[in-house]
Amino acid sequence: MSSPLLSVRDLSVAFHTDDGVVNAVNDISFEVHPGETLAVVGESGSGKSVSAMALMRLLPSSARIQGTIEFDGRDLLGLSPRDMRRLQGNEIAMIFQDPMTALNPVFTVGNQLVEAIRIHNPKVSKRAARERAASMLALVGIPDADERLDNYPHEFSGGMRQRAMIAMGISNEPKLLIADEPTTALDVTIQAQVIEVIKRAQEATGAAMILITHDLGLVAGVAERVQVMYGGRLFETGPTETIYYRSRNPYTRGLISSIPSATARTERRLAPIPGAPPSAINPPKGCVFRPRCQHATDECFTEPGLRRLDEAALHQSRCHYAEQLGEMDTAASGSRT
Amino acid sequence: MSDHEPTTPSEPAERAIVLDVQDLVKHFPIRAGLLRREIGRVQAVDGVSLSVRRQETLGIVGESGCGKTTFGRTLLRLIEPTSGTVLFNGEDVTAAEAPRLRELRRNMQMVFQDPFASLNPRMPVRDTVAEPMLVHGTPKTEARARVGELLEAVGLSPEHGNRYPHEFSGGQRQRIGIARALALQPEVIILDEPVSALDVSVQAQVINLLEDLQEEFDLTYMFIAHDLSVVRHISDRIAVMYLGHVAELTTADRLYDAPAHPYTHALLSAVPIADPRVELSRERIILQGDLPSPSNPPSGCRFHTRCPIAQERCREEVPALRELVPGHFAACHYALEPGETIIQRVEDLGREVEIAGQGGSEMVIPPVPFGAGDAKGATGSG
Repeated sequence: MSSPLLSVRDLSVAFHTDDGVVNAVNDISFEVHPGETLAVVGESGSGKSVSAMALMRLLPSSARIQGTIEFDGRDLLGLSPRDMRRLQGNEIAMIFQDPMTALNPVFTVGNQLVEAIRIHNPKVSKRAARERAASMLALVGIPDADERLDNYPHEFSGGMRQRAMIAMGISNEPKLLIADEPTTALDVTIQAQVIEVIKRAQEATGAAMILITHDLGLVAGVAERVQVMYGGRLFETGPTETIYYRSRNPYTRGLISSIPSATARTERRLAPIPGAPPSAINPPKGCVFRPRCQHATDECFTEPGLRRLDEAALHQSRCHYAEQLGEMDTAASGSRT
Repeated sequence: MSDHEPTTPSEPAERAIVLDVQDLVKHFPIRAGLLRREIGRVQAVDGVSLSVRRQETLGIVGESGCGKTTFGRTLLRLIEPTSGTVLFNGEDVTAAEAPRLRELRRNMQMVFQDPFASLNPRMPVRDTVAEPMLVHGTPKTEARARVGELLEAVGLSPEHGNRYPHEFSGGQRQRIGIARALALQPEVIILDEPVSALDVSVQAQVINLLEDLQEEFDLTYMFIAHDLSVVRHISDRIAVMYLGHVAELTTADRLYDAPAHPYTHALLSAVPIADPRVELSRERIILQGDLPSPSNPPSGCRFHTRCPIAQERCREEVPALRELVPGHFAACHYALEPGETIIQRVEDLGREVEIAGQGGSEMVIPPVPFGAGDAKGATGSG
């Protein structure tokens, strides 16, 4: 495999609040290779968005960040704010869940696209930048792109705004695209359009992508590798098919068996995970999933490490019983009758 | 309770009709100017007729602006309908005077999407759950005693009653909302996106709870949601709405196995499935264009502007919701046959299909460019 584009080592993020220290992300390590799509999956409070914000250095100054983030040979946490700004929106771009908060309502879409292009390429003329902006909008499937550049964000529908933001994100041909719940606010038919656009944009630019989502359906069709987070920890990581069909983690399995299927018959009963996700301030002792885990034993009062499940360490799981779980049938593991 | 054989005493189709909605319309006026003159109307619900049978779950699905939420609220007259009738056990809800309406609402309760907004933050949960009983004249001591039972029924403990909403997680708050809806022993509960604010693992808990409660208390549900997987899971029959109209109405399995309306086809094909092999191998239809505004809906069939198989007639004539086979209704002039795919029909019509994606598995079907040449939809792939 090629050398990684992004290499995160032992990343931890903590916030000091009035209620105590929130350990939002604990010691996560992962790599992203050029051109690949890595999905980061988790429920609310799992730390999936915070870790992406840490990569982009978008967290408030109250956040304590530890660890190393190496992007294309540079240490991101050591970069000056000025150098970091050169990377943001250029080599690394981010697509947010809510495009209305990311687009400035008082400037036209064209203005913002042109600015995004010229800020990183000052030598490009306004006219050339506008031409590029129009071709970007056309690439993301906005009809009459040239005229649409003169619209304000409020004149765009939700799906179009999201496309405009994708256009902005890829306008400088980033090496890495971070998409944080890019379709969560959209209707199903629009979501399908936007996913198609993201795939097309990624193909056109060859960018690697980190897709942050709670939607396991979305992940199944887009990602090559999946990383499951829970309670601020990396719980399992592996190739997409491995995670869906040969997961060796009770949380991942529980998550998959919780999803109602649009293809299955209606009589099947869902197998939810009991209880609720842990508090980040006062997490359970030992394995953070222990209180909800049906396989938990006394051993689980000590925190498990990530166990390698193959030689290349592509598949790793944070569970004392990762190997034993492997003997079970994934589909049946979650169901209790 | 965990035994979940479909222990239906009789087929849903033979049971009595609890809720019968006929030609329900809700238009919101758009006013502007000094005199607040009406300059237009948002046609949120525009002539919906359907019925719900006892102990049945009728799912209502659709995208934003399709009128599903307005429809649910109009049934209880939380929003006054513009016209149409709602019969509850044969009695006209829309004609009921205030005291009678309150009586009727005992039997028709509602659970809302946002468990954070629908609970009073300054009221202990016990009071929130007891409130509807007190309003409807249950003696205080009796109401208090029942709160404990209700909290247990929804999987909480009676001691939880002393706490305030902020002390609960999202899933627990939704359980409280359900306990409150159950307090008056209603026959019908209208659930408006009851699980969409919850995490997947917790969502499944609440869905199972709703199924258990339905069996235990013989409840009839109207389940309004945008998530087709959840709706399929819980519903016996499903109505698909598009811009204030019912596009298709049939049993859950039939809707998924043999959808007749092209919109249903596209909607089902757009839903991602949490199975990589299925997801990467199936053909997906991606509709072009955005949802039109309900204040200015398209003429004729409201779906014709995005419909890949629309023909001239669809632009002019509103299709009636007609029964294709017993129990299967669709509002389409050119409904698809069972097993027929949109792609086949598009090819039969001699139209172009754009194929996107590396695997060639995604079909991007442009809508029919009526009149204006063929400028739209031809978004070149990269």
